[in-house]
Amino acid sequence: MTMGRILIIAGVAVLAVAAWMWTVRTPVAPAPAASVAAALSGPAEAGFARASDPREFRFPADHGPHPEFRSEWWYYTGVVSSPDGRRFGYQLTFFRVAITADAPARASAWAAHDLYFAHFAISDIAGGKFHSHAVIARGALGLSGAAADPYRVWIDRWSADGWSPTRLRADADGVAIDLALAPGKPVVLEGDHGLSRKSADNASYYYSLTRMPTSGRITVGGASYDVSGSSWMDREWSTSALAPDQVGWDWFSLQLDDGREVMLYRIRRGDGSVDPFSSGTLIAVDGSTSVIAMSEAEIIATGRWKSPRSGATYPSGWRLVAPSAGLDLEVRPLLADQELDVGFRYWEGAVEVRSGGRPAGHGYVELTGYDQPL
Amino acid sequence: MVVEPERAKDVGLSRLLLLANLRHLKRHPWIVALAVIGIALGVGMSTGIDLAIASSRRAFAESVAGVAGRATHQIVAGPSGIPDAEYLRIRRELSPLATAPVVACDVSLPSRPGRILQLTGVDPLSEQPFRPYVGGVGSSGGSGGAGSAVMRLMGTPDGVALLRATADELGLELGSELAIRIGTRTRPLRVVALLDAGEAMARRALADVAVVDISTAQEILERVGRIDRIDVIAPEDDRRLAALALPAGAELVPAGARTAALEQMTRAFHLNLTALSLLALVVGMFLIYNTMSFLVVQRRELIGHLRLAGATRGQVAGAIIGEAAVLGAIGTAIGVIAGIGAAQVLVAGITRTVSDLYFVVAVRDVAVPIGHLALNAALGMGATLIAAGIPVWEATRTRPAAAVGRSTIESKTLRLAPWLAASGVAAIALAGVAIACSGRSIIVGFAALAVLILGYAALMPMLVALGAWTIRPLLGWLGGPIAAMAARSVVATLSRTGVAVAALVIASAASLGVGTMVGSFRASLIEWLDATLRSDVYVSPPRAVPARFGEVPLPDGLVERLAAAPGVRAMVTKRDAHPSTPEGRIDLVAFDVSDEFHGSFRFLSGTPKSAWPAFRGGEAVLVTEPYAFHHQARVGGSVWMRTDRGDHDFAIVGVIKDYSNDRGTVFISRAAYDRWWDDRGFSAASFLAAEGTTPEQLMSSLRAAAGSDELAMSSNASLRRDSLIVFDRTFAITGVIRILAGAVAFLGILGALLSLALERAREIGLMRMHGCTPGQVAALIGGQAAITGLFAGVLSIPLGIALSEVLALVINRRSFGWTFAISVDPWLCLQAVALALAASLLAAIHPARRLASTPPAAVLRRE
Repeated sequence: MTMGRILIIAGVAVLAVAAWMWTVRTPVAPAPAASVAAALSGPAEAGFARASDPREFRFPADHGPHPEFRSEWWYYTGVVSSPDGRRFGYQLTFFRVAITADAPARASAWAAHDLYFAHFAISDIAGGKFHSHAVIARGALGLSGAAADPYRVWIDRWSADGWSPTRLRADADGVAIDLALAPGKPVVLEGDHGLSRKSADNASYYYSLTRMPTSGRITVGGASYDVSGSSWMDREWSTSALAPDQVGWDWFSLQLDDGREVMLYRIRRGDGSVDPFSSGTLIAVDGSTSVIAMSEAEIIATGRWKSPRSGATYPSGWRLVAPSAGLDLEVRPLLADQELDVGFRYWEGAVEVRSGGRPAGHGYVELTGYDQPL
Repeated sequence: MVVEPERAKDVGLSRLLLLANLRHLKRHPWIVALAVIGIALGVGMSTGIDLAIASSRRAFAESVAGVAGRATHQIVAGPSGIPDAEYLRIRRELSPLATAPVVACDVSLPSRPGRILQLTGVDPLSEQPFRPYVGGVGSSGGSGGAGSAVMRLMGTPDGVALLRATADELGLELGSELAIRIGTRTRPLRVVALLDAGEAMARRALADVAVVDISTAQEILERVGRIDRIDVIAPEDDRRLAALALPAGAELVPAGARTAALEQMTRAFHLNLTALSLLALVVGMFLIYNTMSFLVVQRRELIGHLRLAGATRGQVAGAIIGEAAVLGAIGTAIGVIAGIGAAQVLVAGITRTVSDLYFVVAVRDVAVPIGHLALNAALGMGATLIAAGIPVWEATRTRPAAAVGRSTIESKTLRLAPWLAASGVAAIALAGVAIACSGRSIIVGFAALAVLILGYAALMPMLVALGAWTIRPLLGWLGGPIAAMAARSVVATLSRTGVAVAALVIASAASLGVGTMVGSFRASLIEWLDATLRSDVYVSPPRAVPARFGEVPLPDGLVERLAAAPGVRAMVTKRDAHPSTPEGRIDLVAFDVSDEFHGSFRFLSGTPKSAWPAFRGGEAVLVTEPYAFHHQARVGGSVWMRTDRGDHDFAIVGVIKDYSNDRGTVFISRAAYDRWWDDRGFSAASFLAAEGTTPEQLMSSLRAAAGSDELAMSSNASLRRDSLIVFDRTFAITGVIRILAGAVAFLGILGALLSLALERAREIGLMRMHGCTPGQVAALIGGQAAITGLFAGVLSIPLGIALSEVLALVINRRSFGWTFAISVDPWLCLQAVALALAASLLAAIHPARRLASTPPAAVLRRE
């Protein structure tokens, strides 16, 4: 999970701005190709703090922004359903990226140190439709921003408000969410006490809330549904970037019906091999964590899906085997097409988990680097 | 005759007609050339001016459209701007409608005098739906692609993005410094991104735009916390937009409104130019008429024979019209091509004037839209065919049997003259009625002007005949038989000379009329400047051109520093603002004017005695004559304005003379302005020198007080001089048009004399046989030309004066709203006579020499 989000921040932040500019003008053209190295050369790393050693997390301060780091995100996903069983997946993600390391005092209230962008997606499983939208605004003048206490992250009318519960609101083009998320299980510090290494030189600070009881309303296709279910939230901030030979990742966040959660990611390298910094965490019912050794874990793609928009072929369906954790899971997308088309293209979608042929849970999968190398 | 005899005959006759025509045209290359040149000049003029105006308008519309992008509406700030917080509120209330804030201002480049860039401060992240070419800061040359270019623009406090072509033109690259002058200060910007606009329109629209982040714009323009306008994309009749509470002083306008408002400003100016260009075409019509009637008259005999041989009227008419069409087509083609060339030259002058008087416009290339070319070509062909219509009518009325000679025609023309004159009088009367009844219409004004000219032209044959008849005895007594003959021949050849005189009269009168109008206007302007410019030194932010919108005020505190400078006895400050009214934005000037300056306002209505106390009291305003005209305002009426304290009616207590703004100005006292608006800026100030201080000393003292602020300073004398330079530049184009109209008229008289000379070859031959010397022949031709020219010159004076009156009292008033008294300059009248005389004598040289040098036997033999 770490790696996926770091990559998104690092690679997507700058690209998102570019892509944002591109989408309406040339709706069918591919997003601009840019190497990670190029993308990351926006604001140089120099001048920003780096995640190199484990730190002491302080809450609620760490729920808020960390402007001394270059990038940061607040990542909500979840699977919910209406009383009559209509299922939805949702994603609402806020990203912060610094515009410049040095922020001289300026007179204009428009002068911004950061810009914020957000992705919002709804997977309408019964309707067979996937909706994705994006917004972007500078972190100035109240157009967008983040605060720790009271907790708030927002861009225009899209927002996450309050900590317990957190109210998520977003709407665009006839689709909307208005959900309340209770914290649920305690905070999970990922990696080494919250320091998540993604390559030899690079790391981020990373914590998660892995099972947040969720209720509220979802509006799709002109109809509103009362829904309930559970969500997953990731918080991560860093300055450093990917290694040049890392091309993409497959990331899984699964909530099992037996009360455990699995976070697992695999970084793919240019030569097709799996990067040794790939990692996983198993969260027990009581919230205690254990590392899933990737050396013995196996992620086998069982199906493929080709995007009609990008022409990219994504894996679609997996078998996850981690003998040391006692896991042998089947993971299946609830919709084949859950590719976000918000300038930058990636697949992020709701999945169901089966074990021994029986329903065993649900979650979210993120697949990047298939449309174009990152 | 065996098969289809009728058809065979038709074909034979048509061919015969064609051959006859061709032979004829070949025999008179001069006449043909003149007709072609006449049409070419007329069409060239109208095409050139039309294209130049179209290009300047297109350039302007594109730059506005480019900057407005895909916005459907704009919320435009009043004089005080829109507070940032209001933008935030509006963005939220209108969400999810797209909104984009803009802070913009024209800035000049110290390194490129005369070059103006529109500094446009935007939020790049809000730009995408509006101006994708601004947001999509294209391949920046640097690493990181578009996104990082936008981030550099946002993250660099002095960062600017330019179109790549503009950067190349200015010799800049990524990282270069670009110094801009804003108001009194020069600020360095750094080029952090280069724009690659895909579409040609965006490319042209962006050529003069410097894109900066809105934070940068607010800071360098010293408008922190204020926004100039908010662009909105909303569907028609959007309820959210309709329900929106507007910020104080702001108004909601459709996106096209600004273009329309600015187009409206220049409409009268363009209309006047077009009218002048059409004048050239009308004179060109005389040439075609001249040529075609000559060709018809020459062939009356031939036409008679052809009619006897069975040619129908239709065939004869068709042949002549065909001939005219060929000449017209050649002339039109040459004219259109020449017009495209002329437009390249004219556009510079026209845009200069528009920039001088109205708003900045830069034309990169002259557009050559097919539609405009077609229209001008049609105009040329139409003029040709109309001009050819009369001779055709004449030719087809000829009865086949009657091989009518010149004498018949001439006697007929002479007989017709009174009728023509009567219709002329009627036309003049009609023009008078049209002017009286048409209210404020400029077009009707011009139409009446044209009718007046044509009516006067119709008087010419009658007046020429009468005049020649009157002076013949005098001439006979003075110059002997040749002089008397010359006078008689003017009457004897009335069908030729009448038209030539008419053409010459029109050209000469146009020249005199426009000259008198410009001269009178200039005199009134000088008088007004003398009355108005009471201060010794005038100070404003330096700018290459008048900035209409987004004016940069003088920096805070500067006015106070200047007022305290040694050598200052008194100061008058001025603030230009553009509040909105039900009739759109108006030009409001806030003055703090002390008693001793009251004399610089010349009241046309209202009394200074009662006006000034009311003005100072703050509820009353003064309006200028053009404002009163355009808004039908008068003392006792009021001006409704949107202020920062709500909408308010201000009573009008005086209408004053003003030539500085043809849209009109409303003057308000500074105290009242401060009460009703939050804006505390000053646009300019003027100063009176203390006793014993020269203007030069005062200027250096003010300059010292200004410190690092650069100021444009003018002494009374230099401001006066500069105003007159702008005036002269504005009317320079009328000078060009006068010269061209004169050239066309000269060609007209040349053609008339040339055709006369050819027609009268036999007569002259006989005279030579009877002992006339070549000198006497030349004297006869020259004398006739002199009489023609003299008549034309003298007859042009009344028309010229009438024209100047109509131009001043009707056209100028309706176009620009101001009036001025016409003062006739006798010297100009004399000049008109001399010019007409010179033109005719010059035109006579060639025909006279030709006739005088031809041996009489050769002439007679050829006949």
